[in-house]
Amino acid sequence: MPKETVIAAAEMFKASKFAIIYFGMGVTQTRARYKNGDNVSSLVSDLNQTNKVVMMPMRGHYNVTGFGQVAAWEAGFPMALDFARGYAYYNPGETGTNDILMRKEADAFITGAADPGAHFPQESVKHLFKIPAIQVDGYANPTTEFSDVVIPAAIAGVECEGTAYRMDCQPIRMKKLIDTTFKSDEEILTDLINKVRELKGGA
Amino acid sequence: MAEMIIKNGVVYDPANGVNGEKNEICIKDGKIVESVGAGARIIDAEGCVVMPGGVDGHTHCAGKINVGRVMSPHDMRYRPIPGLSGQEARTKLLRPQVGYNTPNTHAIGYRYSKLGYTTIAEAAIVPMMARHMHEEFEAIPILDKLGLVLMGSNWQVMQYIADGDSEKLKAYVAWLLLAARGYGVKVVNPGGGSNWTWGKNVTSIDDKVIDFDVTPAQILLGLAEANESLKLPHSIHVHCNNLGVPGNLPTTLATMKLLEKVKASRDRQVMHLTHLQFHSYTGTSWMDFTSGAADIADYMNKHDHLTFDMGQVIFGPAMTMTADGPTEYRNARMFDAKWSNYDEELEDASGVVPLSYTPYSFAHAVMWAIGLELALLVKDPWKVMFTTDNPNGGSFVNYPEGQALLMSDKKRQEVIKGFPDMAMDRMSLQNIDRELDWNEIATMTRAMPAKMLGLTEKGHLGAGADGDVAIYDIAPEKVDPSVEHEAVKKALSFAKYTIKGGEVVVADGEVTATPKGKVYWVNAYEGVLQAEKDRLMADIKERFAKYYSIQLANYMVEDAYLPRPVEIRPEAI
Ligand SMILES: [Zn+2]
Repeated sequence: MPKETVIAAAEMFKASKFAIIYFGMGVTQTRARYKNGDNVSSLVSDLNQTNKVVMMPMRGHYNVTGFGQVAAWEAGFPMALDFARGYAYYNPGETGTNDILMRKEADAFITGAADPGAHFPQESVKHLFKIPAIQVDGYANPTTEFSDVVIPAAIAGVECEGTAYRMDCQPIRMKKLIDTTFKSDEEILTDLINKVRELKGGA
Repeated sequence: MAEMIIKNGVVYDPANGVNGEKNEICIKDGKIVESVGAGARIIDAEGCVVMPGGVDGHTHCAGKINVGRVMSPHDMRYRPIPGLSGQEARTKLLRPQVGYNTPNTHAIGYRYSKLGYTTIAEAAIVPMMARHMHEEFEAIPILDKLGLVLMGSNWQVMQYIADGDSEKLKAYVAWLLLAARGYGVKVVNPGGGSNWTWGKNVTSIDDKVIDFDVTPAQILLGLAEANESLKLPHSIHVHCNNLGVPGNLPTTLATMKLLEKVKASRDRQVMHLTHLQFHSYTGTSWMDFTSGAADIADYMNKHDHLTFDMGQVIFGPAMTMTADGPTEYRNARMFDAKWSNYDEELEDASGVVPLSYTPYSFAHAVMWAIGLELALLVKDPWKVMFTTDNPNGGSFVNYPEGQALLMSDKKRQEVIKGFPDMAMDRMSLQNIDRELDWNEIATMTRAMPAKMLGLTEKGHLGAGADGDVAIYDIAPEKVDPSVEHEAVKKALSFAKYTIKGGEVVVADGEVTATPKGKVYWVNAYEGVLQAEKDRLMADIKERFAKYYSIQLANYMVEDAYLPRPVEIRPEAI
């Protein structure tokens, strides 16, 4: 990056009353990954010595922020949860969905409100074609192609109620506008766990 | 529901003047009653202390704590207190538990219950984010909950105070409680949260707030008067300006004096001052700071319009979380720690920063001493609530440690022996030999917090109270808390029984049932005159159209988020 660009950016920050750096996957998913984010946050911290500056992640995929919120309060961590020990174990790089798929460790797969078929790395998707996969979604998408079972779900905010968190973590009530014969994600997952308990005889 | 009778225990119920008597406690349909039938289940409390269920009137348990969780995956493995911290696998009854300062919601419910606590108050939520607080409340089992709503840097609040429009302010305060389904008015670093939008702060109660023609003093008085005019069950709940700054003592004393001119509308304080330990520092820097607890206590002892909680420091890792945004930025820079910041549109700010307290730091040692000094120097336990400002001063699972310290001068002197010399002439705890008794502990952890919050069904064991009871396996006539610190701590850490709404939820220190708790909220808006509501709504509509990033239609917390609500209506106004 040319020196002039850096200086121009610095001048912009200095002239601002309140600045926000929105960062996305270009920062988090390129080489050095979380270290890039660390650099941005160090910059933001230093800039606040003179000006008000904050940073906010540009989250995608509808309610991904809500998943992180719920996972954090229910289990302690926002993602990459491994419950094999009976409590959540968290080690991104080891327990992330793609870490497990790349190691070909998963022997079954369930997904909801996401489209790994379109967004996961090819190596992960190749493995997903080989193992039984269940999709819970309102729409067909590339994930449908490798899914062995597709359970159509009601659309939150149209056909059923619910909560979604914006990328700034603001929760919004999703309202029901029309009736549907499809079940909500919550009902589908509750039915599934009840059936598993019945089959396995668990609590 | 089945009947229950608790027999043979030594009962401490300060609200009803019961001080260590062998009374029987009867419960029917979840409530304390005068008597029960012969078929009632008998709980034998022989050799035990019996108290009302604990009430934590200031804890960060839903909302910002989730930011703390995301920031501190390392915290999930901390296990300094086995049984009350760290990772525990699910059982047939219990969900998985992780964490120490920022445990998952289920662990919060289980662990408070093990301590004999049955009611908790989330200390600070911006109205916009109240929906999130209620979602976490629903995921905290067993306990009854309530939330305090941040108003001290709210644009509309400041505007109405600047305009001198007290009727509109009153209507707006009531509306915010309705919108958030909140219980009371919280004021954090008044005006400072708004200034933090521009990277600034306020440094005294007389500074001007940027863009608003008001001072922190005017915000405090305006909100206190609105609060009393609405006859809310709780008073304003205040985190003073200049938290954690050496030399903040004059600011704290000025805030205390300021409220002398407000008259309480109920039999309670006009202001609750929270985590006073962080606001009781003399000096000009960390090098010359000393404890200001004696001055604070002297004032408290001479005046009756205030209550406070300690904000006791516990040595070890903590997680600070507060609406005091500028303080958190300062903490992060001072300790070179992780920093999280929120600017909540028109409402307030907040931040989260992990830190650790060590007895080898003279500053931390003195902070530890100040919390205890405040509780011991203030004579009337009805003015003091025991807290650590969980998890700012330390995790709530350390409450038994702090409470046992209040009961033992010997133990306090042992800890002080390990302090650096530089701490000794900055504190006075080494010269205070007062030791609290069980009745005083029951006051600071049950009776006082319930009265301070205006929760009439909580904190006592009289007929009509909720059937919330804690039974600790320690015999007051056999164990001397002033020498048996560990025995007291152990008994308070793992209740023999915790009874919630007439149901045994903890037996022998283990959780045995996980009923869902209630959520208390205050509906004062019902009583506001229609003409005032109309005047207010015109402003609110304009604010939402002009400034908010969400629609008014998406703002009010819906009924769906409070599956077990208890709506409290202050008497007609
Ligand atoms: Zn607090």
